[in-house]
Amino acid sequence: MGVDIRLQVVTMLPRLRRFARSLAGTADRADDLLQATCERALKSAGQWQPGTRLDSWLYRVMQNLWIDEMRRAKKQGQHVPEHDALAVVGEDGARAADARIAAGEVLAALDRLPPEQRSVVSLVCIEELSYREAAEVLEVPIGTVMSRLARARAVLAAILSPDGLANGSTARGA
Amino acid sequence: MMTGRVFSDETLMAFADGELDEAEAAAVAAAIEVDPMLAERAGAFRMTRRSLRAAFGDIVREPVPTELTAFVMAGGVGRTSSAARPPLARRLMPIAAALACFVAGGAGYWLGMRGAGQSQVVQVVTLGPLAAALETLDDGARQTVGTGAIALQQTLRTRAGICRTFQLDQSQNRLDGVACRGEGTWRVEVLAATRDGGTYAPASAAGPVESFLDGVEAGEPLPADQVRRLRQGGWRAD
Repeated sequence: MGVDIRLQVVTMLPRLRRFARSLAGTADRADDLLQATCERALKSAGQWQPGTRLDSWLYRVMQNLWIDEMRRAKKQGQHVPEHDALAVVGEDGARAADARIAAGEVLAALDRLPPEQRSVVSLVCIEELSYREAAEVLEVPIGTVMSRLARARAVLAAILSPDGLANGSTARGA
Repeated sequence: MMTGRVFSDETLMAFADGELDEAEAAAVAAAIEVDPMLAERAGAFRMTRRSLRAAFGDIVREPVPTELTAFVMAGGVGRTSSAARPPLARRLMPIAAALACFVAGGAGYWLGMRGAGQSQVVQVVTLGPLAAALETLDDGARQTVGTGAIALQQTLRTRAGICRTFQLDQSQNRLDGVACRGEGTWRVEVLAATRDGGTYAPASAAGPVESFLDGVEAGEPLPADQVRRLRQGGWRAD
């Protein structure tokens, strides 16, 4: 991998780091995931096709590593640590009238999502990818992106808003 | 409340995310006008996006750990396997503050650039304080940059052309690097945290700098008079 591609990876590190944080939760685990992603990407740079988006490929490498790790942890029955900010949640039930939702609460809500929903929510709502771009990263049809995303956000909305979603037709859970 | 059409969650979500085409978006907007329940459902999708963005948006403005940047620039060289590593954040602590503010200056540019093409990269390396030091300093010379310093170490002939090793210092933080001369400019080939600082154990006998120099079959370090002549001759290999 040439220095020019390394430099491009370096310019993308802040966004990759944010994606890692939204997946892995704690800062330590996120930075380990980010490093593992860089390591894998540098080692298998030949798999990236010039002309396609490098950032999409890096998101995909990270997403795959993380899903693998989740599966491995699940198989070994390990407890997966939750978000750093989780401890904050529940200390103060009072909520401002304009309902600006505390970051800790958002993080805790994300922790309730199954991995596949969590990555799509993160790619679209945080990284601001379009549905099509997210579908390319995740290598699933755009319809799958939309159904996962709608389910995930219904769950998040139910957790985050005081009275939940008024609409009963909304699917909850995975 | 009667509406002409039933809208699915997915359609309302796509509306909230700006993913519908103009005609569809207009149809949803018109329905929302007259149906508060529909407006509330679309609003929930907007709210989740806003909340997530508010919770995570600022992370991109946090400085990326120096060692990670250096790790990428070194091409992922010189790491222990992930199972054997202590958590990255802990290992980064002694070094984390440095790179962005001064190391190479160029690194600051790199971090700020998007989609850098090769010519831009060359320009950046050409313009940074590091490139200036590579161009003008003899081996053993040291130049202050901001609150840190760049120290030139050795100059060697290699398969990759003339290469120079250097060290970037700030307080107790150090990075080792190698830059090689090609096509009239300096390219940084290796940039990695210095191993002998006592802050973490070496992963193997040969560090990234040595590994790189072995790989390009570097000769013995050139004597001072040859380095001076090369410098005066604009670093042409012959």
